[in-house]
Amino acid sequence: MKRFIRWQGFIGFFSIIILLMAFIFLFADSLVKAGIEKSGEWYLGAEVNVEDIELNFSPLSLTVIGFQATDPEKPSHNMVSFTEATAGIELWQYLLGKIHISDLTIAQLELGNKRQSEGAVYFTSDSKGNDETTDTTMGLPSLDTSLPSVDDLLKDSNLETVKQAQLLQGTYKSEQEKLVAIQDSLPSKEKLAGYKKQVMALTNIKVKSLDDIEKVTKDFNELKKQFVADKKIVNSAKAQLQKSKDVLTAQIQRLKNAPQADWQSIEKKYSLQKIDAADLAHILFGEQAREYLGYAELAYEKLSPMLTGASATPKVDNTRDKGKFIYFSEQLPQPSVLIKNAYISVALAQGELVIEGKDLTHQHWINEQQSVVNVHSSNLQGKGEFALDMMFSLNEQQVIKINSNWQLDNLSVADVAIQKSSAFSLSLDSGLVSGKGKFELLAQQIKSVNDISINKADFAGKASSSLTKMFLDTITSTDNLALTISATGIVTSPELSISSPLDNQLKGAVQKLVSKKLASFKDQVNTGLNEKLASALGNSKSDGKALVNLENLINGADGSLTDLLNADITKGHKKQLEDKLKKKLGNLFGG
Amino acid sequence: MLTLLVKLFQALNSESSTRQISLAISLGIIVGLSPILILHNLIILFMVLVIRVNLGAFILAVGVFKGLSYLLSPLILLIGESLLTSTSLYGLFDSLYQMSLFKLAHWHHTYILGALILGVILALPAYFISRYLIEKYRIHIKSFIDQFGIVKALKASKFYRLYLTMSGQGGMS
Repeated sequence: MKRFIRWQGFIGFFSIIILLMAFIFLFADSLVKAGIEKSGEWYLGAEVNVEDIELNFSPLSLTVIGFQATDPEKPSHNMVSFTEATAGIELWQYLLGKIHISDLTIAQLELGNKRQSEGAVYFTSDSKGNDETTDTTMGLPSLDTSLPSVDDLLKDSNLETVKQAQLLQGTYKSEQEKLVAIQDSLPSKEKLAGYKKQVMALTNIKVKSLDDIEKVTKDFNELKKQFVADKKIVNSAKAQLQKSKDVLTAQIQRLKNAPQADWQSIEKKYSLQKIDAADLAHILFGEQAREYLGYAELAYEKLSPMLTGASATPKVDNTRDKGKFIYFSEQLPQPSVLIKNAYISVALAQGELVIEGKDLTHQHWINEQQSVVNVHSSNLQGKGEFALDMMFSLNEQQVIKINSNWQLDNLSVADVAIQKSSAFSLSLDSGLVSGKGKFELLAQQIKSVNDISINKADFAGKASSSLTKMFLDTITSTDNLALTISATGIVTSPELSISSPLDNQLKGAVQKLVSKKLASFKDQVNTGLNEKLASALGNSKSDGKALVNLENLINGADGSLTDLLNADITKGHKKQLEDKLKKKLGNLFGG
Repeated sequence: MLTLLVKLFQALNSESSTRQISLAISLGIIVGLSPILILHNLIILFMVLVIRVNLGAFILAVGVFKGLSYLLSPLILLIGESLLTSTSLYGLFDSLYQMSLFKLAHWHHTYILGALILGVILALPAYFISRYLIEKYRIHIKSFIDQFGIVKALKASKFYRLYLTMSGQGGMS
């Protein structure tokens, strides 16, 4: 046995173990401190300081004292800091490869507080915050500047009235050319008079016998052939005239309708209809609401990858630089990371917030429990009370589900800029804000309804145009303002809807102002358009006279030719022969 | 570095059997490839200290394979992940997972299992190969090398004196 075993090896082994434990006991604090600082600096790119570390082994707990993480974008300030954080770690779960924290307490968590000395920055992120101020009155209907000049409008060659007038002239010209060509082929007055003379001559011929009548009839029939040919030309001229009249009538009707179409187009182009229906509460308070919603979006964007990105596939978790844990079935399945209870006190400039968490994890499908977060404060801006109850969970497909309710009472606010632009500025100088709301998030779809009321409101601002002055007057005369803000759609770009009873009040006042101004504008534009119409129709009247003359000419020729065709020239001749025959027979029978 | 070389020569030239040195190298490979403070490494360390294996060779093997583990880490991860996520082995690992010892040893971690498996795979041939080479060294190479003038000069050097000092202290058998 002694050949294979060296008994002093036992002593050696236990000596090594004891030395190792002693090393851990003596240097663990420093190692953990260095670990937190270095890994924090590597992640953040800026100096991270830990004042002290306390590591207790029974029960295992870690206390971090005086933590400060420099904001790489603003090294004179911390991104986050806290005075003390304690985490009670379950040793057995830790040895099995899981991090279960029974109690996590963070005291005096502060965001963006000033550092005693500027922190070192190792690298900064390329992404820059979009803090450029935008002209928030872009959506505000500035009626004074939005209405175009009437003269400029009427000079616009794209006006339908101008176009239709030009079309009418063109149409008349082309129709006139067709009619002139026909007019030239019409039988002239002289020709018709000649026909009449010829017919008269045939009528006045003295007939002595039936042969003479037959000859007259034959001559008349020859003449009639010319009448029929001319009649054909006249009928064709009549048809063309009717066609031209129809075309011109339709064109004139289009011209008459053009001013109305022009007005509708002007209304649309200059959004004159929208002035009446403007979503005024949204225009006024939308930017402010979006700003607050932006914080929620930012929080979601920062937290979401931490929750969902940690485990890409089911059962696989805790990705490390070198490998990962693979979990199999358990009798009592537990998530790989679990904070059973958390208590965080946040010191904000506005007051103190307390955040309490329960069963915080990113693997809710394993223990089938939702994480619960309660946030509350009773000293926001003095006497403001705030409470938020939130439950969230992730399923195996990494879909986040959040249900939350919040309530705010008597939050005193002062100097809140609502609109900032050269043309219009509005601020809430003082007021008490109360409200309640809820939001739900499922598969990145947000659904939130929030009712906010501002009591004892004291608004102030500056306005340059008549419309914005009216806005300002209406709002500054308001003591209590209620707003309902809804957000729906994708969480990163939700659709915001804001409504308020103030809407109707403002709309009424706007309509008064707008309708008066619009009515005058409409009159001026329509007068100009009607003048254009009258001018175009006046031209068409003179052209119309020519048409009437041509119609008279055609109708006259038509009537003459019809008469000539219907002329019964043999009737007189037949009478002559009858009379002659009667006379002869009377002489014969003693008359 | 100098000390490590001394240990190598000491082990090769010591009275330790070739089995003791080869076993030390094999166990050193397993420990070297895995993260140091892991349950199976503590067990191996216990074995190395209690069983009469050559500690110098063990320490040397650990040092060399610790360095090599950085190069071999993609292979180690591949082995560990393919084993732990293999559907055909799911039943085996699932039943092993029910044992606290399995979880305590972190064998459900892809790198640790991969390193253990690769270490074991390399340890077996390493045992026989190293044993063969040490035997050859002792019979042929040592006497062959000793004939060279440079070796004679080396034996007169500070390095050799250090070696002799350490050998004289013993305790590394």
